[in-house]
Amino acid sequence: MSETFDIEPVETSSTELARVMNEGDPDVSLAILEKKAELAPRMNKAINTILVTQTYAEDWTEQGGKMCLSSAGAERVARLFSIRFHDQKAHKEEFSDTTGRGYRYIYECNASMGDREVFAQGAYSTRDKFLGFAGGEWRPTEDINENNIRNAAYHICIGNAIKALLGLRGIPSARFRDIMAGAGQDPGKAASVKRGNGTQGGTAKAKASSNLVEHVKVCLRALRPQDPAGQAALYHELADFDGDKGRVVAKAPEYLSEKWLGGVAGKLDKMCDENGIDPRAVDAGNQPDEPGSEG
Amino acid sequence: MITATTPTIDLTASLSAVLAMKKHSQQCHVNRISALDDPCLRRLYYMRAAWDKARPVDDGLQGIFETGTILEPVIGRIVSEAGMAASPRWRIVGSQTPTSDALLKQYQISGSIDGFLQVETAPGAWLTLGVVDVKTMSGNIWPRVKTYDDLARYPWTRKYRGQVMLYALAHNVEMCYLLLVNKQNLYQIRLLAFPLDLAYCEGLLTKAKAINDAIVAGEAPDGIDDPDVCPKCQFYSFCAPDITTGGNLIVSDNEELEAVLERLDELSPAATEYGELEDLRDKMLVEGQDVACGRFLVTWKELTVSRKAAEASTSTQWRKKIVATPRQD
Repeated sequence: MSETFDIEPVETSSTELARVMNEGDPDVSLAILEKKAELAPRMNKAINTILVTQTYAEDWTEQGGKMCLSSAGAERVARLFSIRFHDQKAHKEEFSDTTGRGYRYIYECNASMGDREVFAQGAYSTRDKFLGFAGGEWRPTEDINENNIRNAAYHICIGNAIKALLGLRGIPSARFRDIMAGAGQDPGKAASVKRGNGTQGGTAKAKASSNLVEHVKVCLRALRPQDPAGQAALYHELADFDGDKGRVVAKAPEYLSEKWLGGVAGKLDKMCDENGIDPRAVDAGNQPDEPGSEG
Repeated sequence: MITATTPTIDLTASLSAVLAMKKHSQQCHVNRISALDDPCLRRLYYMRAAWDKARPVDDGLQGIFETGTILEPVIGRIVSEAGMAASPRWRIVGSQTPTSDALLKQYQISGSIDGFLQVETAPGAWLTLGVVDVKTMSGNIWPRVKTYDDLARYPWTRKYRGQVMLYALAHNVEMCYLLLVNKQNLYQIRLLAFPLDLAYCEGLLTKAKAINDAIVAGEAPDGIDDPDVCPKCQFYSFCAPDITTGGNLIVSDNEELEAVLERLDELSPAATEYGELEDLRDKMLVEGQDVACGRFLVTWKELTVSRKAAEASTSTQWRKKIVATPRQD
């Protein structure tokens, strides 16, 4: 697979991690809001102009009736404005799943424009399909250029900050089509993303992949064979934690986030390693024989 | 005949595969001469301390590098032929001689020159004029780089100055030469000559020392944090610089301005046609030849215009670009 520095991973609304930190002085904000309301039609027109002149239909992905702008498109829009990016941090998280070991990079940054300030995150992992999947299978981690993973996470973070600052998130598909078609662009060139059998890993808040869920269950069965109660107890021992408002009891693995369940999987892997257990081999031995099989 | 079963050839993928084999990140323990004139100290630091964190070179740039490598011997042959055909004859010798100067070693600076430019002063007697480095340029860039000052036009050509000056310093010669070759026509070659500037070199040595100190301290020095430069840097995501995008766009509620822009946009097709007709008219007329045509009379008057010689000056101009989006009403 060819890897170039201008990687443009598929971004969806689930990767848009950002929150507004500061809207500025309330009185000033109110005055601005009133002025904004008054100028809303002109403002919309100006934003349409910016989107039409700075982005292409291919920069957008449709998901659930909303449009998600790629970080490349967002960065193009940002060049028009004076946006300050600061307090940027990055960290790498390693995880294990049934495919093997993987990692993700998570970037955080603050971005400000005038009085408005946002905090944004961007994550990208070896289980994101664009870089991590080729030829019908997940690529071994060592075959993936780590700098590309880091780079993708960074651009997603910057893109999320820009989109949050400029209000470019969650644009309704119908409005997007009107804007692009009106400007002579083909809105049909925007990519469409279906949820469900998505990628493993990905963003911190994404639901855990089915592979990771299965891996956790396999490990639990391997560590507590023929003991469903013991498996449940071990699961809660590893997944539950003390939060601000008391003990947080984990739901079933299927309902946990990728990040949360990834942590559980990591602990289970460590336990398996320490006990010399190969979960898949043990689990295969625990499966009931198929009807008609020999032995 | 192409049939449905004819296998398709994916040339892009195959070229990409070839280029992928040529992409290497190499550990670098020294300050490379060819890079030292970079304005970003942090990038120079990362080239040594975090060389493996660089964003992979894209196929486009790798292709340019490979083209340069392939062209090197071809250009060498052309240059050799040109030198032998000249009077006095000249030549480039000592290709890829590594620097071994004690001063540069002290500053952990290293590199290899393309050669020394020599001229024949008597049959068989060659005089070394200075160090020379061969630089290939695209057909768009080559015509724009004619003087030493023109080297400041592009980020990559800026570094050529320091590179050859440090080579000259290392080999104790006073003149620096750049042989600029147009990649589109290898027989378009320009020789840029400039003297060794010791003050310039001192600045580069100071920069090298700052990097060496930072390496020892294990702390990256400040970068340039430039929104035009940083996004193109191979360490952009690793560095994650504090930058401010350079735009200043505001949403204007000036209805009068909008009305003026609208009217200009409406008249724009007529203005275009007017200009085209003017061009057509001028092509059909002969300067100095008066013409009566239909209801029009065209006469000419010869004017002599004298302008005072003006001193060369540099001024800043703003050039606006107006893009109109289609009307949606």
